[in-house]
Amino acid sequence: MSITSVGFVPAAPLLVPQVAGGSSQLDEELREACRVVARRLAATTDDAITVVAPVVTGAAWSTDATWGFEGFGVPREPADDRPRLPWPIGIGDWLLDDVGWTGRRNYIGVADDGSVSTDLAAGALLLVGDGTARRTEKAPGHLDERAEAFDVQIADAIRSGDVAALGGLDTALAADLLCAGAPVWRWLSVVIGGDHVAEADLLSDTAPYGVGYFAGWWRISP
Amino acid sequence: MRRIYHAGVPTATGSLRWGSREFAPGEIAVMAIVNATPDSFYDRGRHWGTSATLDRVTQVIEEGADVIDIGGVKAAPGGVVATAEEIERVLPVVEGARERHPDAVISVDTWRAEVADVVCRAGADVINDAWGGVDADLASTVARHGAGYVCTHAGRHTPRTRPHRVWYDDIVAETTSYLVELAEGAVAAGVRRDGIMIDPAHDFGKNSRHSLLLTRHTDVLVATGWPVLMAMSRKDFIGEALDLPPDDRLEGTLAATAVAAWLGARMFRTHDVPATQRVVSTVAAIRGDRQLALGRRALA
Repeated sequence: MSITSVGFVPAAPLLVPQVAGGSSQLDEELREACRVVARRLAATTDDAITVVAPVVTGAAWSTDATWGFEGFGVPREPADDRPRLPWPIGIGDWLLDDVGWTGRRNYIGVADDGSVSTDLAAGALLLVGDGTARRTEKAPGHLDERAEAFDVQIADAIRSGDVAALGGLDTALAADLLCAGAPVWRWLSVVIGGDHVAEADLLSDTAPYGVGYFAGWWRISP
Repeated sequence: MRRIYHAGVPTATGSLRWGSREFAPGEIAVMAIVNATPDSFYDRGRHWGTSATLDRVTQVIEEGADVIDIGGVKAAPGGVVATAEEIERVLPVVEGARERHPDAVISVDTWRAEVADVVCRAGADVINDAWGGVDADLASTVARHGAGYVCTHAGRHTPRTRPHRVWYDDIVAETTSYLVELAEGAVAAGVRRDGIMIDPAHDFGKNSRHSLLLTRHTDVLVATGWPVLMAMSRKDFIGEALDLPPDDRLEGTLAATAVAAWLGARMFRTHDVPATQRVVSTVAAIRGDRQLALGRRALA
């Protein structure tokens, strides 16, 4: 089975309304773009959606795990005692809940060095990851003049369906700029193999807090 | 003061000795922030320049500060302040403060052993290691001078970096165990046991909920037996609780101060000395640790 579609959403905890708290409406436009991405993925598969996100140690997780953001100080309401996914994967899992996806889910965590099983890389992939975190002086990583151009490269690659450009981002520079998405996109460029992007769409490209957020969608054909 | 009744709140044990002062258990002290910086988040250079900074020192002492905490490098990211420049900013303030106020308890906020060494020679009584044990030589330097020492938890982050999506399986347990480890490490390096405080360092390496959780569980920090310092003044966790900028965070800060004081914290680092002093004095009176300043009502 090959990859049918790919969705791109940010790894920003504040996407989850319970995490954002009283200010959650500030990012509703971005959240809605992410919902559109998830719904499009759902429309291309009647089997599973696989969430792929950056994690410390690469691995795959069991399908009985679920999202939880207790480590950010946010209890899950109502309480749910299923095992927790690492939070970046949890963001994708929460989004699937939010759009009412009831089909099967797989979870893949990609470490910085890209070491992870590729066995599950098929069907619809929801990639959680974002651009640099150094776009402004108030950004999490403070201002780095190189950040904006780097994020433009990412936006262009998603908009034009350029797998090679997305996978070929400078690894060292990505790390310097706190770009959380780079390892995941590098992984994608490997697993996508010879398939090509038949349709590409960048739904959102913003950086309201100095972190580059992208919501995008690709349809893949063999 | 003998208490007839005391609510079941955590109570500190042991005195803290800093400079000329001994802070008894039950006493709640106020540490005044003195910024020798042009760019700190709240005062934004209001007291920049040695003469203006020294005027600020005199002001906070007259307002009733028990300790002054002089810092030469703002916490947020920004232009590099090298060791030499930090010394240039802080040293004349320490020297001037010591000369004008021989009995004042002077703390210096620095993560650098070299800075600590210079200011202790000039009369500083305490080193406030606000970035949590980054310089391995700092504790032994403090020990050499017989100075006091504040151990903080900054999430093991590099000084002057912002937290980004920081995750703690248990922020209270992690902070508490790290602080105890730092404090015991300081003792092992020769720092006086009765000169050490622990500070969970609100917002340093933490999101706002982490800082609120640490405030809610102040009693866990107090239960370690180490005296607890809280540095919460006008910080973002107060701002995010209320969605208000630094200028409008006084009431929120004082509310957090009252809660933490009730739960046993012993010292509060603040921009607002008179207001903080009134809050902690009231809490001490409620706890039964402080006599009435005036006892006339219905008693004549």
